[in-house]
Amino acid sequence: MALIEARGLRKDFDAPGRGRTVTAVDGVNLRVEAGEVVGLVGESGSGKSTVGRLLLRLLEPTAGEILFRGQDITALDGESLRPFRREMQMVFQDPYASLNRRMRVSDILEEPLRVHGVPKGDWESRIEDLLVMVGLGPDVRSRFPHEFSGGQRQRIGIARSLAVEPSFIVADEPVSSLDVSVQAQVLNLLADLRARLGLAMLFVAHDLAVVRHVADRVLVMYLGRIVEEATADVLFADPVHPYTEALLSAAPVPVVGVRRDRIVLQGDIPSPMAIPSGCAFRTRCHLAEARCAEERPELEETSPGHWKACWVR
Amino acid sequence: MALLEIKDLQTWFETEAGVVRAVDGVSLAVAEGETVALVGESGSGKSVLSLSVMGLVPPPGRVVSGSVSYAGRDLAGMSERDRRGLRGREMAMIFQDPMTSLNPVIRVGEQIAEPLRFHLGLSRRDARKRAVELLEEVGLPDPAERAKAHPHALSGGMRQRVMIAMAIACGPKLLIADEPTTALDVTVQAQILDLLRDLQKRSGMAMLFVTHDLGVVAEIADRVAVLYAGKVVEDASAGDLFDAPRMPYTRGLLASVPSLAGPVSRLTGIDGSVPSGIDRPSGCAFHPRCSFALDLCRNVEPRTERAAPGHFVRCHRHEELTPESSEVHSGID
Ligand SMILES: Nc1ncnc2c1ncn2[C@@H]1O[C@H](COP(=O)(O)OP(=O)(O)OP(=O)(O)O)[C@@H](O)[C@H]1O
Ligand code: SF4
Ligand SMILES: [Mg+2]
Repeated sequence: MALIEARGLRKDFDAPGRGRTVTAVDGVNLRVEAGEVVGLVGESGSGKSTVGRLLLRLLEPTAGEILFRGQDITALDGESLRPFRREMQMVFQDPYASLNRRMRVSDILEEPLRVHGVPKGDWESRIEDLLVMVGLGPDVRSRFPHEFSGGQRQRIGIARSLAVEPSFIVADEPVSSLDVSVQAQVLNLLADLRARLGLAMLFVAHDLAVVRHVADRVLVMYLGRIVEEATADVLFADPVHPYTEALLSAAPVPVVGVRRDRIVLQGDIPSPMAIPSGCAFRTRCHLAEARCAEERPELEETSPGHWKACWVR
Repeated sequence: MALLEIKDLQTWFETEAGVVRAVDGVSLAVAEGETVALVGESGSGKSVLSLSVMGLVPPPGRVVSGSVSYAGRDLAGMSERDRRGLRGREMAMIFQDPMTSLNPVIRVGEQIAEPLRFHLGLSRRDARKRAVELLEEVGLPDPAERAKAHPHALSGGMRQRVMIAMAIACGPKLLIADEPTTALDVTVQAQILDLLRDLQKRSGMAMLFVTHDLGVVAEIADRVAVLYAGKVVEDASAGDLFDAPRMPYTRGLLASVPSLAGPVSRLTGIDGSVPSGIDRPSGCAFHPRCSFALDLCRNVEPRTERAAPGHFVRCHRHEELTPESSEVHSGID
């Protein structure tokens, strides 16, 4: 049984004016096993963050269901959802915006403990453990967020998400606002925590090399749909979907003189307000055929554990 | 003679919290037709350096000392009028966020036509026609239609193309590009990098390309200057910089970037974080983060020295830190 599973997940948002809607997520199935790190990649507007927030029940899905340890939690709310909230936490992209400036580190870390009814007598030692675990040390507890660097703030954000010992974390672009030298520190920290705590994670990112580094399995998203899924090793070595291929070949690598034969996509990602018919990628795809405009390709398994949604490949 | 020559430039900001030494003694040259990448982490001074070259440093910033010369002419000694004549015509700049330099209420075609009329004296009609041609050159689909659009009606990638069209309108010899692709998705970034390379090949313009992305540097640069705490700490050909970096900071940066190719190993990274512009460490500003630091590094600032032909580095230990010596005894243990 998967730790968390989504079936047929869909999310429509109201679009500005005229009662129109935007479909941000359209029929997504995904599962994360206990202790597994699943990477979710795609460009802006692909719906990655929305998937993460749906899984955590921070947004109401328009359709589909979410199962945690086999139990359907889609319709739970309030008290009935609380035990699950404790199991599932979030690490945000922007450590500046996600921490309350007026709260000391100890207050920031106390909040989830209080909300989830951890006995007050345990707070002190728990906070100390957390600060040691994320490499800040207990001495920082009475300081305010502005006294820290970006990387340190992200460590506080990580400590906060771990406070109530979740088994699943959604990390939404957790390192994309950090400098590369600090990004490396935070990636190492996440790897250590994962090994030590057996955390499962949905790691949302646009940086393919970062995802390659942390994920066991990777899902590629384009305009609200999963277009390819495979283990990280397979996906990066043998991408099947033309979009995955293009993404990989567009990613700049820090090696001089590897003039790769690059697939340069034409144009921009279409607006989610005007998703192309059939395969949503067809307007930028160099393999597109007539059929691609007519019928939507569903995900099918090309080899065990490797899925793609493409008529041609 | 280099096309652009920056010598010992210092650009400081006097703020209430103290003096921010954003650019703190930079020397750098860009030859005709050459692409120099300026790479560094946030706060290292990349944008202030670019703005200093353009003469566009916003107050309370000011160039405190040093010089910038373009084609042998000292820019500091020039009147604001002459500088304006140079800007846009001889040297142009593009920014990360095109919206900061595009006027939201003016059609993009008009905005491109403006420098053509100002610098080249084209008539309104000719300038408009040329603007459409330029939009076509930068690969905007439907250029005649798009010229009539306002900036907000265009996507991020298209706006960046409009910016580029505006920048190259008068055929500048030097283009300063400050993180022109950072805000773009990777597939659109690839398009813009290809476009810039292509334009450069056709026109022979030189480029000072500012970025924090070492992958982008490897793709576009002939030569690379690494900036740390307002100083160039290493300056080498792209090949040398990536294959035989000398400065521990450059090595640390390269070891921080996860690889697409795998196998996945632990990243080395660099401990600590970039110092603030106000309280810079003594000696070598990198010493608190450097695993090779000695007492000398804490006390004495290293000078720029030649490590190999065309390869300059600011590090007391650069002679030991040769490509072969990955295992130099560190100062800490
Ligand atoms: N609260 C909202 N109201 C209206 N539209 C929304 C809302 N949240 C997301 N969207 C739209 O849904 C689409 C997907 O958004 P989402 O933020 O999930 O994408 P993303 O892949 O995370 O993008 P990025 O990488 O830029 O963060 C976008 O077009 C976005 O504008
Ligand atoms: S001068 Fe010293 S502290 Fe600075 S980089 Fe070299 S070894 Fe490190
Ligand atoms: Mg997002």
